[in-house]
Amino acid sequence: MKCNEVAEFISALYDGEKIPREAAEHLGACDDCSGRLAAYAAIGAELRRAASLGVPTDVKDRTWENRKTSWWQKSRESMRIPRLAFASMLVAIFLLSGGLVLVRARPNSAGSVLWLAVKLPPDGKVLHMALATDGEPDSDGFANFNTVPTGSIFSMSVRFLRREGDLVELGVKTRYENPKPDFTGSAGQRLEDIVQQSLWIEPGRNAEISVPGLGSIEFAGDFIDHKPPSFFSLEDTVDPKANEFRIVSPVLIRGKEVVFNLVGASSTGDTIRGTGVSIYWPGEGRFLISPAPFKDAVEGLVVGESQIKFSVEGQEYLLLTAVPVTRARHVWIKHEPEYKPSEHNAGERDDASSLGGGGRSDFPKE
Amino acid sequence: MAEERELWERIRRGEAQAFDAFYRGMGPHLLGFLRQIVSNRQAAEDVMQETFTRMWRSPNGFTPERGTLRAYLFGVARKCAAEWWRKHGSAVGNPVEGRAECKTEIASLVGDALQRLPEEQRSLLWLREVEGQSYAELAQILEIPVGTVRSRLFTAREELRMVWHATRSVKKEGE
Repeated sequence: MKCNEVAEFISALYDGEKIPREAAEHLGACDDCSGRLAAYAAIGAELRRAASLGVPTDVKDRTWENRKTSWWQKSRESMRIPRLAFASMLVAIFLLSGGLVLVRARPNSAGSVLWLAVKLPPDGKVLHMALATDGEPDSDGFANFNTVPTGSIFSMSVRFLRREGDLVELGVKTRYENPKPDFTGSAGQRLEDIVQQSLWIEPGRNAEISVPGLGSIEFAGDFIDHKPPSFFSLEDTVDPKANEFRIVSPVLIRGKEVVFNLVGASSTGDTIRGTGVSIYWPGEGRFLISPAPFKDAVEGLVVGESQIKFSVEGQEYLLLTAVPVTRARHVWIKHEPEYKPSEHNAGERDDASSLGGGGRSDFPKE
Repeated sequence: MAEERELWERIRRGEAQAFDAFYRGMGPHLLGFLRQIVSNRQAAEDVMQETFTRMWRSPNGFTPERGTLRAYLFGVARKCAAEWWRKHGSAVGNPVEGRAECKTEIASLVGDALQRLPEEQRSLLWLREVEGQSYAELAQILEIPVGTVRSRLFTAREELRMVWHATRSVKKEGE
């Protein structure tokens, strides 16, 4: 070996690392390389000596104040109405509102479901997830989120690991890309190679993790006694908002056959903007569903608030969902049986089902 | 390792006493390091305080499976220092002011030589030579692969060796 080939090994040897036999033999016979090793040792010793003269031996006294209260907790604590009066008011509202039923999970420290609020920079958008902490399977949360600035994408998975009293340890994977790559894929696919981080959640305290490129995301959690029926917000009601179009845990039935069952998956569209939902199922192609008419789509009827009946290619379909879909009575559906994700986005898999918000180009006006 | 995990569990639960012990134990080491990478003693003190404040307020950033608490601390400090440079970089004066404490000639020479290196090389050499951080810890702090630590340490040593020799030669010629 030559001196320049051995040089890096000399540095490693000085650090206590083993080096290849050839490098060790060269070093034993070469004055220049031995001199380099001696120089490293001398410089290292001088650095430590200088540090011994200059490094402080003490630090200023400090007190460590209690950690700040969670922003989520704060919003609950800011109530100025006496609790009894507030409870009476709630009862009055309930009685006066007749048939209006609010679907809301109550925070409960004895509950087994962790309700997570995740605050994203830069605009403070809050995402919600419900995770079972009693070992219930299929509780992991996975999602892709379009983020600010437009064209960027943030993916996150949250897995329950263990619970100790009010403390819950989660395994969190995150990924942020700006601009969004041509191949997006499901959150699960996007996060396959990401190292899982441990995150401890305690009600009343914020937890943060840093996402390269995006900044710090803040987690706040509380226990509730059951999984809320809607996956979008704890404040969601059974009654959809005026422009809301939502598909939660859809099951599609063709005749007497179940075509797909996407339990736990959810996505939303908007009746004003005319955006809808895209569902892909391997072997069945893609179903596009929109609250507004679009090219080549058939009209479907919303029945019983959470079912959609439609007919395409001479077959009758019934789409069942977990919550009322929209205030409108009609929606529009297009079936693309030959659709394959890989033909539209390089790298996408054809063997994985997906449910997501379709882009405007998927719902062209008639 | 088990002790470190136990300490961190106590800190995470909000035990101020445990965190104060950690601060008193690691503070001087961190301050010595920060004096090498920010422009002056007061700035190093500010960045050190900010580093500990951040760790106290958001203790969930540390994951024992991914490295040591000490390396995590220095990694956070390095990020705080980078933020400090972004805010104050154009307004600061002589970056070697902190070396005034190295009173002997030889210490001054090696200190001056170190200050002529880029920040990452300075950090690497200080953390390895003075703090005795392992390759794995250096990889954690600098967020680079372990293999890269070895090659960058070599490059940093070579730079320092050449700068140091040049500084000594100039000094001898002047005598």
